[in-house]
Amino acid sequence: MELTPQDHTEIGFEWLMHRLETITPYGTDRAREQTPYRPDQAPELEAELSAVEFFHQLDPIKLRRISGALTAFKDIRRSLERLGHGGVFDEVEFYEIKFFCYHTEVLRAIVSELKNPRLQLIPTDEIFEILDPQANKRLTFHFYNEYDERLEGLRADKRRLDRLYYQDAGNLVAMNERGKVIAQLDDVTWEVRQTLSRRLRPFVQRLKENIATVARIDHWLAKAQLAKQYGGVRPSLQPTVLARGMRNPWIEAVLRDKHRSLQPIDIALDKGCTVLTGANMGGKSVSLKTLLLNVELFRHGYYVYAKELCCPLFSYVSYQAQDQASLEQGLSSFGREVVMMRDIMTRRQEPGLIVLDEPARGTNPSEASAIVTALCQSYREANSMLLIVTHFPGVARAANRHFQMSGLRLDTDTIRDWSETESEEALAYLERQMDYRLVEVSADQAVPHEGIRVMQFLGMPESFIDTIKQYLGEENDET
Amino acid sequence: MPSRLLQAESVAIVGLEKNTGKTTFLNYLIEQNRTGQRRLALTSIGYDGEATDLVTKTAKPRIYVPKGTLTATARRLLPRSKVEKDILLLSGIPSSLGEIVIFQTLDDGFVELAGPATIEQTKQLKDMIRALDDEALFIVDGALSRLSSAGHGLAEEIVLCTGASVHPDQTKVLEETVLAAELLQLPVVSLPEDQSKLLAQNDYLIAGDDVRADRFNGPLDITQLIEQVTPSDDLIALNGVITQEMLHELLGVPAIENIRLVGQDPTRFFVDQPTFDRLKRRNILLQVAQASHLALVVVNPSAPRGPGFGPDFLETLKRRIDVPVIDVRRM
Repeated sequence: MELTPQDHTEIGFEWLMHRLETITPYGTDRAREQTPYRPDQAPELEAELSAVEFFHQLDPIKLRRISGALTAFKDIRRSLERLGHGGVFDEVEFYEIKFFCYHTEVLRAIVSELKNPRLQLIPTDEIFEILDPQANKRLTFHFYNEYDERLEGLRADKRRLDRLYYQDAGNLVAMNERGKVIAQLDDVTWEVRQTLSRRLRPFVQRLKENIATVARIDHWLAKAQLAKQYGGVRPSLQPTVLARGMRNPWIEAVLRDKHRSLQPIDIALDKGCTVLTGANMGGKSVSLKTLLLNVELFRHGYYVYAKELCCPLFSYVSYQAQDQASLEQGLSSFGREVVMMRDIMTRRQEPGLIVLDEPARGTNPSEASAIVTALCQSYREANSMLLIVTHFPGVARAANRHFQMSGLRLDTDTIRDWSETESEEALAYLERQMDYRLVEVSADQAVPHEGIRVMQFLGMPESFIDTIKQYLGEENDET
Repeated sequence: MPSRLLQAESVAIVGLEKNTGKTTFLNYLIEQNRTGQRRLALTSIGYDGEATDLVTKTAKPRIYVPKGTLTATARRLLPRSKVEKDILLLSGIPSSLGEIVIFQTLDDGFVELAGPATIEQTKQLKDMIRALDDEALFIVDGALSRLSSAGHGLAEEIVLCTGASVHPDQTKVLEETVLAAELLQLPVVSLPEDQSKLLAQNDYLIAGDDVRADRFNGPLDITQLIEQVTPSDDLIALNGVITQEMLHELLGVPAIENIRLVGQDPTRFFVDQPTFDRLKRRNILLQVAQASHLALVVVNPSAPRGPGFGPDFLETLKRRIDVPVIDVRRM
């Protein structure tokens, strides 16, 4: 029922997440594991967005100092788990903890200046001091002589015996004695490791909390950067959907490579069914993807790409893409659609969002038209929002709202005969004349007959077009 | 021993086989440095393992380093490096024995080395060590007879270790050593800047009256290259490895002669003595784009099993190789 990874790829969500630059392993995991906020989590979503806003407005120099401090963090979660479960650390693990505390303090000093209570880290100097018995504040670690009074003497003995052993490997007395000293040293070191591990164990929870804070700072900062990179704004939580000047950075990037651009779109959705109609030039699917991307960003507490986006929290979002359906043939694809329709209809009274791109294409048009109209009808009183793109005439009459793509701005005066050689040029011109903006129209507004205008423009014989109009008239009479 | 080794920026000690006296020489080099007080930075490529001295019961020397030495070794070998160590850095570079850790010794004592598996990672490690100390003498122990640690600009000076453990047949070892030494001393050619740029973007480059560069049709498929060579060309440069098979194909075309064949560095050439000689006769001169300097050849005439080689081995090598050759037992 939820959007799948495949859907995330198709709407450009995946593409944007690839461009999210978290710095620490903690932030990266937070981003990866984040699930959509549910309808009862409005305060949490607002808090998340406020945090992103805080970083979005922060002075770039401060931002750079924070990201600089974040780069030092390495993953100590496994070591902490081990310690928490009674494990005894080795020197590398003690070093890791010392390193983590050191850099926590660096970050803490920077963020404490920002006076934002949500960014506060718990002081770790107490832990650092345990690992720095000589109090020299250096970022290295060994089993200092201070940890056990026996260490210094044993080490002096070993130094002497190592020398003898190196000079004469055949000196069995020295070798034997060296073996004993090393064994003693190993025993003492093991005791030191146990004692130190025991002293650190009570701090595991504190370190975990700091890890969670580092993860949040890292993720919020990355969200703010992503917003800046593609011009995002903070969305606002409202009972219905209202989008103005909404864009899709992924599609924009793809089009930019082809030297084309995308018109921002406006749309509004209420509970119940909204129908989207218009010329068949690809613009409608792009509009759906743009809407879905921004809704998905919103639900995950990201900034959105629009002049303005108001949106409620949905309990689920479902999407039936056109491309997906066409991957399979005939009844199996129709069968899948039916299964989906059946499932979503049982959840009509939940605050969900369902987006269907030309449903029921797999069956015959007159039957399909009736199916889609009935679907609209059944959602009129629903709590979910259903958005349907369709070509079938008359469906909109059963819907609550009806949007139409503006379509071709074709001035009849410009219609002329394009010779064969100019076909490419004509098609390019045609594309430039497409207005992809969505306009709300009345429920009775007919599906536009833009196909005919395109045929006229591209120089199909008049007599042929007359024949088409004749058939069209008969069909309209029937309905 | 040439004193230039102690003044070098970096030294690679490479062996044709295990038990060729690498560690003995390394200890000797460390001992020689003791008076100079230059700080040392040690690592290895891969891991030699200490098992052999348990099996053969020969007194395999371990590496004895002075206080203050920077050591880069795998995490799981730390408990076996029985020296007091101050952990300085976790490199993030993985190895089969755990992450490579850089520590400083706080005492004189024994260390065991197991470094990264690849040249690229060893270079990264070298950069990290250089960030800690850009003056230290960086020494790479080329484990498992991998000559590759000599190449790729990783080390300024190279010490080649050879001996009876390479093969029981003295003549065979002699030829192998002479060939390795010859490859390590290949003349350096510096390509004009435009040509090196062109080569960097392609698999090969041919220069004569004009310059052509392209990619191979398939891996190591030099047919296309061979077809393009004309008698007026005087240089062929290749980007990757140059295998025995490629050289045979090249030699199969009689028209290809009097030409320079340039590889990136000596380790890119995989060639045996007969092929090397045939190339010489055809006046196809092997050259390298990156300099490496063979400073010394170290010989260990004794083998862990068997009688070892006589004094004639060392004498013949001295005659045939024009860099100093020394016996590891007499250092």
